Amino acid sequence: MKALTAVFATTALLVGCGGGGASSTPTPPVVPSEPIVVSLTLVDAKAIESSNQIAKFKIDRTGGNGAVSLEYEFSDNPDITKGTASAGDYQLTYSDGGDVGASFELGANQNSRVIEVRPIDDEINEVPEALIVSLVDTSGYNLGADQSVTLTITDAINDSVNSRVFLGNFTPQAGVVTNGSGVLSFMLQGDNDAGLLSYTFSNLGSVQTDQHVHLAPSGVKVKEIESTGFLSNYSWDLAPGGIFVTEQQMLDALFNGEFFVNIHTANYPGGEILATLVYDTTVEPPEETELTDDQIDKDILRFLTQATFGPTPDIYEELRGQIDSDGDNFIQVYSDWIEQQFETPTTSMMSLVDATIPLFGEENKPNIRQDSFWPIALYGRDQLRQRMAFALSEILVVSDFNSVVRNAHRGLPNYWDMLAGNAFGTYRQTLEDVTLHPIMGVYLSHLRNQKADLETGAYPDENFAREVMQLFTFGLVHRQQNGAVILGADNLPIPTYDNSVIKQMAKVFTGLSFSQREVSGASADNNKFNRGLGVNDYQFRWIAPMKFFPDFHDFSEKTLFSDQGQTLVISANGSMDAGAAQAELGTVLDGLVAHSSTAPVIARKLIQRFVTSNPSPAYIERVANAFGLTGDLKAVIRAILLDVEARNPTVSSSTTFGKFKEPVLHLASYLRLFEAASRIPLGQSQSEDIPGLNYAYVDQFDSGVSLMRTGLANVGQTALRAPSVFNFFSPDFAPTGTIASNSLVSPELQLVTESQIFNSFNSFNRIIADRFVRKSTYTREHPDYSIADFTVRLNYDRLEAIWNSTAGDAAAKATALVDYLDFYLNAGQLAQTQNAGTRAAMISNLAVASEAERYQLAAYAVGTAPEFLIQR
Amino acid sequence: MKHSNGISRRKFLKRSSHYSLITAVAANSVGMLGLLSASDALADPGDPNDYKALVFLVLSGGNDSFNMIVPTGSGTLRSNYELGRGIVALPQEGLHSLNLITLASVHEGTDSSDFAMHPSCSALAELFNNQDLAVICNTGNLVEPTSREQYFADTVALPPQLFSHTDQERQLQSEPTNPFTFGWGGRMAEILAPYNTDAQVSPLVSVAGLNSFQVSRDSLINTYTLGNDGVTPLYSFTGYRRDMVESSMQSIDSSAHLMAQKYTDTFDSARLAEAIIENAFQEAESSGVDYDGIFNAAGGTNSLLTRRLKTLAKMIAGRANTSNNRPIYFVDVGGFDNHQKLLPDHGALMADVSASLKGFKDCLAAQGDFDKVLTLVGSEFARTFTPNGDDAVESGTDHGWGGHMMVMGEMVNGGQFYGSHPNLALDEGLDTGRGRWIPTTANSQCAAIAAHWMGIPEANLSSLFPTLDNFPNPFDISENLGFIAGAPVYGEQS
Repeated sequence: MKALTAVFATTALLVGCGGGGASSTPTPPVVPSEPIVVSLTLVDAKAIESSNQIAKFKIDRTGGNGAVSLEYEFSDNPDITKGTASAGDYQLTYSDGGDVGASFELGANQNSRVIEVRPIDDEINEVPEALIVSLVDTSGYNLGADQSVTLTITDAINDSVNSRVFLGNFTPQAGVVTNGSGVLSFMLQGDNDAGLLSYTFSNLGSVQTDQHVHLAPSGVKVKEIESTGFLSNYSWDLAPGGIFVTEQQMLDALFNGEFFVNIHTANYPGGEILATLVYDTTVEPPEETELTDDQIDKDILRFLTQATFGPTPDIYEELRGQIDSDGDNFIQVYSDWIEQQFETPTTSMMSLVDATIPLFGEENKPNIRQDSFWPIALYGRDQLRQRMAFALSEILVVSDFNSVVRNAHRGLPNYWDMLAGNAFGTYRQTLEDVTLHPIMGVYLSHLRNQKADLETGAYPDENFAREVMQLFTFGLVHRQQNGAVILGADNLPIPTYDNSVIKQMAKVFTGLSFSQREVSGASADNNKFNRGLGVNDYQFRWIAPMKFFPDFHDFSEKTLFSDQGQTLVISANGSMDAGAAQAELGTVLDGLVAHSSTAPVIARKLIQRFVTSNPSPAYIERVANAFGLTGDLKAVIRAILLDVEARNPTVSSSTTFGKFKEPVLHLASYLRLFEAASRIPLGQSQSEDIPGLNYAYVDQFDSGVSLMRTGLANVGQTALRAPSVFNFFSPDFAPTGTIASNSLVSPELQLVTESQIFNSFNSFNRIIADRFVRKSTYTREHPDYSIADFTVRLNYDRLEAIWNSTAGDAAAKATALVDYLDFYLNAGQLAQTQNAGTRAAMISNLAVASEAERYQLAAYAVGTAPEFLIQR
Repeated sequence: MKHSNGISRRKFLKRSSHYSLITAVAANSVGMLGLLSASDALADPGDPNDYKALVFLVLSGGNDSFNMIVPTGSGTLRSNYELGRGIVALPQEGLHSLNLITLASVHEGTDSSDFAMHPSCSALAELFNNQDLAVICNTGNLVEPTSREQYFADTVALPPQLFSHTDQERQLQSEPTNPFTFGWGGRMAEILAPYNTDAQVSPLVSVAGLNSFQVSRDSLINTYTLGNDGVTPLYSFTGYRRDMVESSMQSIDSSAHLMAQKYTDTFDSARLAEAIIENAFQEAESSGVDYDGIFNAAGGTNSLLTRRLKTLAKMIAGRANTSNNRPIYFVDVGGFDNHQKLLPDHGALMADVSASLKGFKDCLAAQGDFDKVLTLVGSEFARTFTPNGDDAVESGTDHGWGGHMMVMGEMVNGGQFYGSHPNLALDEGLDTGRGRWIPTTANSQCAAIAAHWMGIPEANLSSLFPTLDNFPNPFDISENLGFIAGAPVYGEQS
């Protein structure tokens, strides 16, 4: 530019000379006045109240260098459904200081200036609001092409912290008779512009036809939901519908609790059940909505640890393959897997016992029953069902410490099969089947229990009557739906019953005895109340439900437990027949399961078995809602496993979330990953030397299933062998120290003592030393099989393949081994920095161990190292 | 002391920040005395001969102690017994008579000395008649003295969840109040900390798993849990395996999951105690006392209870390997919840208890320790006096309330009944229904006397038993609880 100016100057001089010298003082040249052109440019469009994020735009001018005032104006959002910011929502300031007044000011020689839009956090729930700023054309300047900017002011950014949770419970619509129930959540994103709607429901009286969101109380429809069935993270943009024209009106109605979702059915075209969306400030949304690939991987492993007897590469791959590249559908994939598990045929423990017995002639049959747990747990395809059966067996406890129970080698597995059969039914039916099962009858002594005999001074047995309330249903004190104890006027917990109730309850369970007995090798009706407790080979009496013998049942009036001001009273029955006794039992069981404290009590116990020792009250409440009045176990297991608290990926670094793995589950996941097996196939022979069992239902198992004559592993716990009806551990056990002082519980740690730790270490030593076998006369001297055939061994093929295929030095190979084991047995948690110690210890020792010792050493480590015993 | 343990002393101290026993003991030795008033200073704990041990045996499930101690003769007590118990009443023939050196007090009845023990309890009767054993009648969990009228009028504080196993068992081991915070054994260990200076073995030793009794209040004195037969060594725990596990355990610090920390602490405790306890057992085995022979001679059947008590006898014999002079032992045995088959099943249990206690006594006597070990035998409740069926073999009894405790040891004024025996009359007096007797002595009162013998000053007893002050002083002569020789006596015989 400098060169050009010089040329002009020269020219001017020449003109002056050429002018003949007519003027002696030259005047300055007239500079044509340049027009001032002003414009607006967007710098940062978004202002956010909660984080005080500031939006910015810039004014620019060209032409002129004097001070100038620019007039401006605001305009409404052209989309009338959307919000417009008002004066109370923001403050305009200059970035170089000072408030913006009635006009934008540019000083002399100031060509641009940044204006900040500072949001005012008004704590009002508002939809995103537009702030549209335009320059007004006046005579002092011209407007450039960009004369308007649009900024938005929102309440909060869309992250998990700012999500708000609305919850609802599906209940019958007015005038509708249904057992339908369900739960709903709506996660409103931080800017209030949209949210994710999810719900499940069950027990509808007829097929679903439609589902909508409506406005209460009018019932006007505000949102059509295109599909039918459950919703999982269905995106709802809160677009105005029904009577509403703006998004803000929708948002206000949402927060006012005016929206409800209802489910229309064939029987009730106007809607069978509805759930109102109620804002719940106590519920924290999941930490993240977007998971990384790594988090998805770990979550799959966490999910499988919660829902099966242990993850394996096959089942991991099965789920992983269904998850989209962005990972958004992972909950749906789990949900689908759960639905598949609902339909998977049930493996039968009794059937497996029956099939195994002929191989072992005169062996003590309870041993065969004890062994039969392992093939089912390790290889059964109905993993979730069997996990639920195991969980139920720790609530509705019977134990083979009782000699009759133990010797009922068909009755006890029949009890297990009954639990497995009910795993996806209702708790109500489960409790009835438990009550009538002769194994429970003998264990809690209501089998052959009879009405009071005033002459002899004999009273009904109170054992079952007490425990069915204390342990199987509502527990000792009244509770809220979230499990919190309800206090009475004296500030003390309110007991659910007293001893007079127990005495009355004991009458309900009088008159029950065997319905079947054995006659000449066949099952026949039993008509003798005091039929003996014989445990012969057939055990027909132990595998059929008990029946009422009306002569021994107490038909008098019974005043039973109370709930929410209502006392259950069974009036004296005139017909005094078995049907009346059965009906009475039904009424009592209905009342027990529907009692308002039962749902939270059983919900908490089940969450503890699957996910975490210390669920939040909100988590308990969500699962209790799913439990409903009858204990819908499908809804319950969905609610437990898919809950935001169960799926929260950030718990992987929590020092409290999760649970100590109970020994049976720890051992099972270990044996599953190592494909533990004997040489004797449960199905067809694999070689001429070793005949297979040709078990009829082998298709219900994963391939590789074998006869597992392991004997008891002394790890501190054996399925169906709790020390008492109070189970292996108390749901409230809090070990001394930081756990108790933090008001936390850890039920499973009740089994962890000095002596048990050594015993468990020694059991893992026995397993890796290929001594995991029941060494009885019947295995030592078996005509077809050697003790080596019976021995259950770990399969190290996968470890060996990893070692051999990993490039690099021994440390690299060892690292690959550790990461593999960590991935499947520990959801990859060892790889985190905080667990560096165990990881390093494993790697350094595995790197130097001999080939002969290497894989055993790895197996020993994962059996004993602390991190592998924690399920987060 | 030999500490041939894999964890070196230096490493041990380094890790003590999360090995709670050490910190607890260290804190106690400087801080705990502050809890005691000046007049109640503990005796010099340095005297190695000043050794006392308490063994608390819990008969779990609710012992039907009214068939363990049975009225005889032809008086009202016996007729009430036969009337109430009906088909589960034990006939007089076959009972082992007891020679009470003073009449037993009977509540609202005539004092009597006509009592006998269950037919399977010959050894126990022998202990009683040799004045090595005493019976405390009708004790139970109580918040305050309770009458039948108050019970039915609901004008008295009752133990929470009466008749529930877990609750009553926990209250027997702590206090009849909610919420549970500590057991009286655990609290006692805190106050007795100056006597228990061993840094590697806890003074709280259980041979029956974790329990409420041994949960401490302020500090973290963990329960050390022995196996039924003592310590099982770790097999093949050498080389890389050992290095790997120890490094792994050592890497767990306060940033780890709390449950992993607890697991690691318990592993450390096991490793630290392993060698010491092994030495204790070796010392016992080489002491010349024939444990198996003595228990067998007493009628022991190698039952769980026999094994557990044998293990405790050996621990006590080898006590010089630790510097704990006030150890507190816990042992239990289950099976007492005889809702059915009371007569056969309870009979078998009585035989087991009788033989096991006799074997334990004889071993302690052979070791020269019977004067140093007080054994207290209790149960969460007794059972309904009336049966729940009309078949003598098949019927059982249900959950009750007051029942009998037993105490054993040379320091016991044996051969006597303490407290007050119910008159066994139904629907009056002490009966809350079906012969669930209201206890006339609180468990806390009995336990307080045992704790005092261990060295807890009287003024500190309510620190173990917060409801104790609701009752008359257990040392008052009116309470009839003078079962420990040399214990204080207050008041005058009326």
